[in-house]
Amino acid sequence: MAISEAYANTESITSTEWSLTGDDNTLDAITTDGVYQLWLDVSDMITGDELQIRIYEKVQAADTQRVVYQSNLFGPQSPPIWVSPTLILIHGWDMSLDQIAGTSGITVTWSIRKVA
Amino acid sequence: MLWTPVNDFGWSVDNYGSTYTDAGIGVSSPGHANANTKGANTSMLVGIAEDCYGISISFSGRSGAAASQRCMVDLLIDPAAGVGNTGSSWNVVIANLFAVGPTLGTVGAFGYHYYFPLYLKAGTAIGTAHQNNTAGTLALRVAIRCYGKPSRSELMKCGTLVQTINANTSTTGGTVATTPGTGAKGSYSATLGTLTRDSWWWQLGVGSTDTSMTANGYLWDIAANATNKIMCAENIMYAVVSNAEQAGKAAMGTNIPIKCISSGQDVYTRAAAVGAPDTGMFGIVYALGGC
Repeated sequence: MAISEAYANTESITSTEWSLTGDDNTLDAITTDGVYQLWLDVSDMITGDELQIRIYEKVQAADTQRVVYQSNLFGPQSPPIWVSPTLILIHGWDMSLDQIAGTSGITVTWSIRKVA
Repeated sequence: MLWTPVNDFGWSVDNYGSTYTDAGIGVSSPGHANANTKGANTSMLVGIAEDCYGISISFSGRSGAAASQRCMVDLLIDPAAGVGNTGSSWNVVIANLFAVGPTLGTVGAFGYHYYFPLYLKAGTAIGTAHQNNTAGTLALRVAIRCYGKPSRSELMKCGTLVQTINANTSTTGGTVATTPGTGAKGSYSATLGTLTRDSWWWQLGVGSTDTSMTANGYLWDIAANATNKIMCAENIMYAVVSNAEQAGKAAMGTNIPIKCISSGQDVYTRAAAVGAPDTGMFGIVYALGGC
C-alpha cells in the first residue's frame, strides 16, 4: 500500500463551489480507487467567513453522486490546518470548497492524500 | 499524539423573538377548552433551512397562584413542509414534554428547559400541542432553537426517536411518584417504565400536584437497571421560587446526560431537596435513541 499525494493546489475560494480534484468550478466523478484524506490550510479565514467543505461519492457505480460528508467552518481557525476523516472512495467521488459567507475570497491550500 | 478535534455549530434558528420575559419569549401554544386534552397544533418554526443536530425547547408563562399549572407538550414535526413553509401535516416526535408552573423572569425562575441531540432534516417545520390540567386555552410560551452546520459532523451523535416514560396524560402528570429526600438524596422511585429501545441521551421532567408549592431547590437523578441503578443523568436542577407556584428546571445537571442503556431496562428517578419537598412529586423521563 503506497501513500501518495493525489491532488494538491491552492485557490482563492469564492461563492462558487470549487472542485479540489479538477481545480475548477465543475464537480468531477473520480473513479480512481483509494483511501483518501483531505488536508486544508485554512489560516486565511477571518471573522465573518464561512467555508463549506464537501465530499461526494456514489454508493454504487450506477448511482447518483451525493454528499457523503460536509463540514462548515466559521471564522479564524485554530488549529489553522483542517483534516477530514479518511474515506474509501471508489465509484465517482470529488471534494469541494465553497465560501458561504464573508468577504469574497478565502485562500485555501489543499492536499488530497491517498493510500492505495 | 492522537488528534481529536471538537465540533461546534455554525448555524441556529429560533423563535425566541427579542422579548425575554415570562410571557414574551417564544410563541404561545394554547391549551384546550377541556382539561387534559391537547390544544391546537401550533406552528413554532417554519421549515428549517439546514439539517438540525440539536434542539432546545423551553417553556414559560404558565403559572398561577394556588393552582398546580401542569403542562404537557407534544413536539410536532412536518418533515415535508419545505424550507420556509409552515407545517400542516404534523407528527409527534417527542410526546408529552412536561412542565409545572414554568416561569421565566421571577428571581430564581429561569424557565423550564430541555435539550435533545435530535436529528431533523432541512425543510422540517416544527410545532407544538399543549395540554394542561386546567381547562381553557391557556397560553404557554414555547421557545425553540435548532442547531446545525456542525464543523465536525463525524463527531456528532444524534438520535431520532424519543421514548417518554411515566407521563400520565389523563392527569397531565406522572403516574409513579418520587419522594425527594430533605438534605439528602431520597430513595429511588419504583420503576417508571421499561425502555423499548436502546437509549443514550436522557432528559427529565419534574413536577408536583402541590397547589401551595414552597420555595425550594432540588437536584434530580435518572437511573436505569433494577439492580445497579446505573446513573444516566445526575443533579438536574429544579427550583420553586415562591408560593405563587412558579418553577424552573435546567436541561442538564452536573454531567452531560449520556449513558448507553439497552432496551428492556427499567428506569428510575430520585431527588434531594434543600427543604421539605412539595407533595405529589414525580419525574417523567425522556430517553433518546435511534441514530
